[in-house]
Amino acid sequence: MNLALKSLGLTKTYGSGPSAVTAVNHVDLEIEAGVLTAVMGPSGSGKTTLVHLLAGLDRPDSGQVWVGDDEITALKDKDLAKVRGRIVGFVFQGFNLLQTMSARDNIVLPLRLNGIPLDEAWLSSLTDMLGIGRELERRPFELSGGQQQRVAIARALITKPRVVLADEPTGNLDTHASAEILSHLRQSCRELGQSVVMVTHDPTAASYAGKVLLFADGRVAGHVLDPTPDAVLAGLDALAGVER
Amino acid sequence: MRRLAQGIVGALALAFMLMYVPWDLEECTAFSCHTTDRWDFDGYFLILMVVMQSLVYAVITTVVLVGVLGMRDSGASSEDAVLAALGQSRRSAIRDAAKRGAVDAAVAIGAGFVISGGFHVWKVFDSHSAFGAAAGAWIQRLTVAAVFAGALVIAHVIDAARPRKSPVDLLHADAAAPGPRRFTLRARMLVFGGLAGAAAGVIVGVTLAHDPADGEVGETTRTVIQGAQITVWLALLALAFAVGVPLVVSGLRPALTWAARLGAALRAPRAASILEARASTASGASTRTILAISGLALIAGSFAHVSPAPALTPSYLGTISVRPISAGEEFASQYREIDGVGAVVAAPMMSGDDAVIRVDLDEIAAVDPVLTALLTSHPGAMATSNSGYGASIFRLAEAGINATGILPISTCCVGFIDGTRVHATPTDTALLIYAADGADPAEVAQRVANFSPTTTAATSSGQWMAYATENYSGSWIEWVYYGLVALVCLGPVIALAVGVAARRRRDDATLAALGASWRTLRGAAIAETGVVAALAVGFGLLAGAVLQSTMAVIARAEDTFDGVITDSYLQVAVRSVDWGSLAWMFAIAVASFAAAAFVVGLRTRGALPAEQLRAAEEGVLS
Repeated sequence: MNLALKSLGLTKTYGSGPSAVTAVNHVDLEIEAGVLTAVMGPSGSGKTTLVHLLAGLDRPDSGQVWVGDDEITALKDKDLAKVRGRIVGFVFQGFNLLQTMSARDNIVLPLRLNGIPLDEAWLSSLTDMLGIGRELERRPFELSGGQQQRVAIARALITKPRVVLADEPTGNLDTHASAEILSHLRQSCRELGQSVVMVTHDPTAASYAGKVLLFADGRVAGHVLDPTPDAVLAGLDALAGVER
Repeated sequence: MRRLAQGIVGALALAFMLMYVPWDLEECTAFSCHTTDRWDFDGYFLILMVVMQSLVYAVITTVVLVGVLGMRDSGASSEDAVLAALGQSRRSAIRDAAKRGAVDAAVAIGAGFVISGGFHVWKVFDSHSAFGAAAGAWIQRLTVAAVFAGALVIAHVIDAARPRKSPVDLLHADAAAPGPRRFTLRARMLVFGGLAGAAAGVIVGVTLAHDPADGEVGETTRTVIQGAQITVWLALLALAFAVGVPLVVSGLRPALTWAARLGAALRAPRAASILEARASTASGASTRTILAISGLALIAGSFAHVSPAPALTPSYLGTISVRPISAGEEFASQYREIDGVGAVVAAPMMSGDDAVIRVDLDEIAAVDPVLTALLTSHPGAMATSNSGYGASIFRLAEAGINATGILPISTCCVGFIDGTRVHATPTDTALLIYAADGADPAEVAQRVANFSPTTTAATSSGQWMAYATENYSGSWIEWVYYGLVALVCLGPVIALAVGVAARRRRDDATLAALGASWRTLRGAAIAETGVVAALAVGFGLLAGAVLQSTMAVIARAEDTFDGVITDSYLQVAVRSVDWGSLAWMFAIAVASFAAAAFVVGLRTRGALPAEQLRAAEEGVLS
């Protein structure tokens, strides 16, 4: 099996003493390349921390993370920056767009930062697909929450990264837009071999994934293969100990 | 930025309060010093003078503080928005802001008052009770404290009251581009420039129309001139902030683009790309940043002034007066024996409101060519450092000295006139003391100041030393003093620089997540901060210099009423600015900003983007 991401004994604790919270607790994980993987779980279960650790955005207290064959937890700042710039794309839950830049500048920023030439056709097709082609000159605060989310997704995809990690990428989108974006992500996985890991609370969104990881109390508590919304709900209910 | 504003006003108030510590108590004992100040009618006048002086800087400080408070932390604007959305009225927001300002001022300025009071007590402890000497200085410092506290309160109120924004607008107040101007730059330039020009025209017109032969000018004319001076000052200040700052902000974009090109040429394409991205946008935050930095620089620039008047020859140490006149030669022979003294020239002196020495130009030519040239080029005029401080040909005439005019010099503290043209009766013998060739004038001046002649002939003597002769000169106290001054001056700059750099942390975290390395981010931050600081500091210092040199020219024009002679007003304008200090201030300020960007960056060295984001959410200097 060709792996896009792998973690071993991944652990992250916030705080210390009696108030310490272990957000990710000895997680061993393997994410297959070319697959759209969803991570689901109750609020506060550590999903966001997990994707931050997998993307090399945060430092684990212990454990290792591999992106492809590279162990990113052992990399120095310069090499880690290369991984984040060229190999991994990330969509933040709060978008984290630079407020003083236009949508277009936000989208092409990773290219500028990493010295990658701009592919106008790709930018155009991406923004058309996301429905933000007419909003490119606006600044983030002039866009709706959904539009900002699409800009954030476009920014993560512009470098055609091998791995995309997204923290609730469709949380602010309507059903139609969500479906369109998720279809695109799934298509990218199939046709381009891209790997996508997305955190979501929406069983319908999760049903676009090839695999759903169920996350609870900082651990992988189970998974659902070829999920349907009902199967995902059942998995989540089982996780919460609720019988349907 | 609330703490930053508090720190800035505290440092500035401390700087002013330190000026009102009786540092010169020892060497002033021979003169009319403030050791006898009492809380009487003069005390009220003293307060008025301090209010007038510090108000000028408090106005600029208020503008700076409004700018600083407007540079909100990431959480502050959303907090304001939430409070507004929850129903906080504008009036209640303003009231809360005023309370915040008052509390902050009480803490910061109160600390400054205690510190400067400590210096005062320490300074007078040996010879006086704490409140017995320089009593007025306590009131002066209290007045400074009140004026600067008012500036902080007003700044908080303005920040809360202006602009009228909806809760949603508040959320992105920093990122939004500056809104459309109610008045165009051209209109502002016409209004303020026109006002300054008209007021200056009044001054020039009135002074040109006045003929000294007609006698002293009336009080009404003086009041009109003083009103015109204040108008010029306010109009120029408004011109600097309402026209100059927006122009500097508009220059930021090309400057950053230029820096980006330079970065690309220097093989730093990633840092260049960040600068290029920054250059593509202008925001309200950059306007407020430049406003705050420029304002501080303007205050600093207006302090960088020197007397535009020429100095006497560097070997001139000072003058000793001896009474009766017959005791002069006995004194002169003793002063000539002091090691390092090259020449002692005795001359008749008229004491009174103005101490005037009748010099023999033939005798003085060999030792003081500067004074000789001055008095030769303007026959019958008196050279004095007191021009603008009361010296006038009319007052001299009352004392029986008919001078043709007054020549300003920067060397303290007596007046010199060609003895062949004035025949007033002398009261003392003046001994003009000059250092020998190769001797250190400061050291010799110290010896002269400390020298006590042995005499039975003299009934009184006085000394006017041109060189500073502080007893603590060269000691560790001097270094403490300079260190304190440096801290007070650099403190606000460093605090502002750290605040500006800290505001970038959230953006830096995002950039790091997109692939920027720590080195790239730091390079871009230092370059961007350097460019912003260079533009804002450069403009502020220059505006301060222009402001004060214009005022120097105008003050000199007014002095013509008293018979002051000015050969070239252009020279007065150029020479009144301490260009060397200005250059140092520029270099130190820009370096401080760049260093602060680097130091703030050090805190994030090795931090991963999520860690930086968490730190940014916690906020600093808020």
